[in-house]
Amino acid sequence: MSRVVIQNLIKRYGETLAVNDVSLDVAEGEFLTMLGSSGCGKTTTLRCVAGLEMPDGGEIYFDSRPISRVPPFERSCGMVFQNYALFPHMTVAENLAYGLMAERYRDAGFFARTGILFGTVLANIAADDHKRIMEALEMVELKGFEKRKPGQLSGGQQQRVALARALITRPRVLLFDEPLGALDAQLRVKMREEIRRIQKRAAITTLYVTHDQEEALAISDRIAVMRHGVIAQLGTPEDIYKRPRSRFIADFIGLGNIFEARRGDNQRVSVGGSLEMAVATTLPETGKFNVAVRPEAIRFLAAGQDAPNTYDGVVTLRMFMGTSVKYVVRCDSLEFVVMQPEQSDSGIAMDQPVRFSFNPDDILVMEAD
Amino acid sequence: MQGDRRLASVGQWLAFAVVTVVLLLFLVIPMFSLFWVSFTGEPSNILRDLFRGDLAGFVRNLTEGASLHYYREFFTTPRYYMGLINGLLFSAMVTLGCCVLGVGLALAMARTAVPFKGVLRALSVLPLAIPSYLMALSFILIFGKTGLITRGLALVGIPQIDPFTPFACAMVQIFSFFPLVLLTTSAALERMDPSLEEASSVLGGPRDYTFSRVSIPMLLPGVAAGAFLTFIRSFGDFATMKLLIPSSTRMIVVEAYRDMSGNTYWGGAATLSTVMVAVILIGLGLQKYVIERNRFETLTGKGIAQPRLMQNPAACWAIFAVCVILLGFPVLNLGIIALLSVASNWTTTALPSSYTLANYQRALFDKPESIVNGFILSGIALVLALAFAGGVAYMIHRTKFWGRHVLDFVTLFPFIIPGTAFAIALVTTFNEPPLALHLTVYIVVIAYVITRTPYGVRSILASFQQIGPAMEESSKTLGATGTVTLWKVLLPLIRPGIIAGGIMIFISTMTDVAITIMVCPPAWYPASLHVFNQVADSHYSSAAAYGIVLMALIYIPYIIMLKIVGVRDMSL
Repeated sequence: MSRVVIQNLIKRYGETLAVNDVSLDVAEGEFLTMLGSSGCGKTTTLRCVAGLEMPDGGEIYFDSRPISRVPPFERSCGMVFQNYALFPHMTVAENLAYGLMAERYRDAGFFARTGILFGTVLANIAADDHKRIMEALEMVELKGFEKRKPGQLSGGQQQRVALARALITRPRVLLFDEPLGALDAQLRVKMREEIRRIQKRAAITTLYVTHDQEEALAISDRIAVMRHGVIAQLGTPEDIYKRPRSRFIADFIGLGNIFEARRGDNQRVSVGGSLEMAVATTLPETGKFNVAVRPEAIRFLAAGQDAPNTYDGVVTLRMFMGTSVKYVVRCDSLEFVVMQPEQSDSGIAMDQPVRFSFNPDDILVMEAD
Repeated sequence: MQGDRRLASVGQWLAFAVVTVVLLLFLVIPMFSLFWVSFTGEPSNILRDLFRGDLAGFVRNLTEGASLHYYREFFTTPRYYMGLINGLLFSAMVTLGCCVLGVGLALAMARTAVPFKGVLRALSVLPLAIPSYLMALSFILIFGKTGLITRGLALVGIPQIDPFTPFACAMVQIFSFFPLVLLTTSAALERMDPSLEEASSVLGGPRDYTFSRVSIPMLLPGVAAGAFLTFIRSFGDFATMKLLIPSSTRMIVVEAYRDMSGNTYWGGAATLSTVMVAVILIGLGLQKYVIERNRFETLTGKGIAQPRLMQNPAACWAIFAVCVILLGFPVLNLGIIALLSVASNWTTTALPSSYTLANYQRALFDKPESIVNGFILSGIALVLALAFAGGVAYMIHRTKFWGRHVLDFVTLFPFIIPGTAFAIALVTTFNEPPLALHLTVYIVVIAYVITRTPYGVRSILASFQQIGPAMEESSKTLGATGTVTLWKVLLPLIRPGIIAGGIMIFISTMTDVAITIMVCPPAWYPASLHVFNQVADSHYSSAAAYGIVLMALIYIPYIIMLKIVGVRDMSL
């Protein structure tokens, strides 16, 4: 297990700066996710750590050893690729034996190397390796599949083989490049739980890349939200979700109800021209910023009931979502999204007037971008 | 609707009957006859007996005088068995050379940032457009006693490289055929997911380990397919062997031709041809074995990345230099031929001392018969072969009749066996009445159609596979009858396949020598044979002019057609 330190990493592709001065410190055994939309530099950063890309600036350390001059095959990383990159001409067992064989090949002299190259993979699997392969298969619940070729496995099974193959060499760092992107929604949830469990048990330092904010929140110890090649915010999932630093991040994690605001008097802000809101947190000195209210924080009031931050609007949409009910409420020129738990749903029909409110503490204040 | 369907089914059966009769008469029976003559030594005239319904006579003819005499002779006569050994060694050498050149160039194109890649790519397929006997001609010019390179080498004291040797002939073939390996390997490289090599690297595999454990197995099926194509082209390439290899070195194709022409020795020619067919079939089996053993399902996951290119500028320019030398050599050859065709005097100087258009005058105006003959023969063969191929492809792909897999193999067969062997098979069958077609124009066209149909079948089948049955089905649900669907939907959609197949058929018949020289009556000699004969008789200037005219007449229409229809049809 290694601590991974990325220091001022820079990577250019021609004119474009794919990674622009990224620094990260991943503790031993930590699970850190790089979250962002495509082209934000998250995959490039990961590939620099794996050694598949050569950085144009900065340095990467495993523990205290700088590694940007070390070829990928000497870095002792395990990596799960987006398309799994299983060797289609080898069986599951041969895929798993590959890394172990490669290790033996690196340590061997000339003649032993030739022997390894010209022998078949299976003939070269030592008894010790065989035990490790069986253990790895057991870990991902694929016992009995060792003679199959990857083409004969389902997407989820291929994913498990890829995971086992990355772990079997006992790497110092585990890297995931959007590993669940090709799976359907249900399987994705199941697999991410499994990845998290295995990672915790092995206590292995992990860098994980995804564009799925829900996946990132569920699986990580810490999240680095990336945009345009830089880290926009770094923090625990709770941090990111509860205190997004900018409108972009609030949008990206799907906060909803984000409005441009202007500073008023007495801890009040004006939103959308006519609405006024009382805010509990300290406001920035300068003029423009954004405020956000989480849809779950808004509640409906009975007519005549009063509270701070109470407004009247009209329901323009009602959607049943299973565990909750989603309302869209128009108020002045603004639209509020309101989520009510299914049990306490007030059952307001479309086009009905409604009164709603939220606590001043529930208003998040963040930079405009 | 009912009537239309019945009509369609009648049409299907009619097409099936025509295809069966043609293939039986002009492919299956000749091959059988060839095989049988290798035991009896006399054309048994199977057709006459079959036409008369004389089964007893048929069986008597087959069994009478059948012995292993000619095979015994084959294994005891040096001219024969050395022909086989030389042929195998020679083609193995050529195949190896093409693999080295083809795989190397494919890797350079796909995996390095070599400059001017587009130009190199275009140059790399150029040799496929030059008939190998024209390449042989330029070899003679370059390496002959007064050739350009010979004189250049003489200046630094290196003695002449004799162009009339197996070695020189192998060089000609390597430079003619390496694009076959290059194309199949490039296709395999394109299909290969670059993240596999990355995965190997991250898993701890050094470069050589990754290359031998991942890259080679992934590329092997493509290379094997290209190698097999090269081998069959080399093994059956009668023209260059006849021109460049002195008769003291026996080559099986040339020996088969010798036994057939002049004093016809049926038994020898048939035995040699049968052996050649056997060699090709064994090669086909080997190739199938290699591909089958290394078979794997390509996994199509999400996000197949572009491979990382080798960027080191010095290495890239070095690779570029090597590419220019290798790919420029065929261009140099073509240039030499062009120069010779307009030279009136070119013996001792570096460039011709004076120029003339007399050779072109002859080729185009005074004696244009061979060019006209070529166009007539190839044109008729083109139309017939395309129609035939379309029918066969439709039957293989869109009907469910029991024999379609047999049909698939049978129509591929004439493509893989040497033209010389197929021509000999035709001669043994159509030498006597009722169908005495040998040395008539009909047999030339028939031979062209049967041997070139595979090109059409392959490319039309590829089009069929691309469009799938949904188009036809949607046309039918919209209320169109079968005939309307065929004309308005199916034919326009497979047009790219028809055009591509047609181009290949036309080019390969226009440049054919091996079959033409065996079966064509002298009055109908086409341009390809004329060029070949001129080279054989050392009339190099005339051969050069005819060769250039031949190439121009083939490729100018081809390029114009590509410009007109290419863009739209390629976009399908």
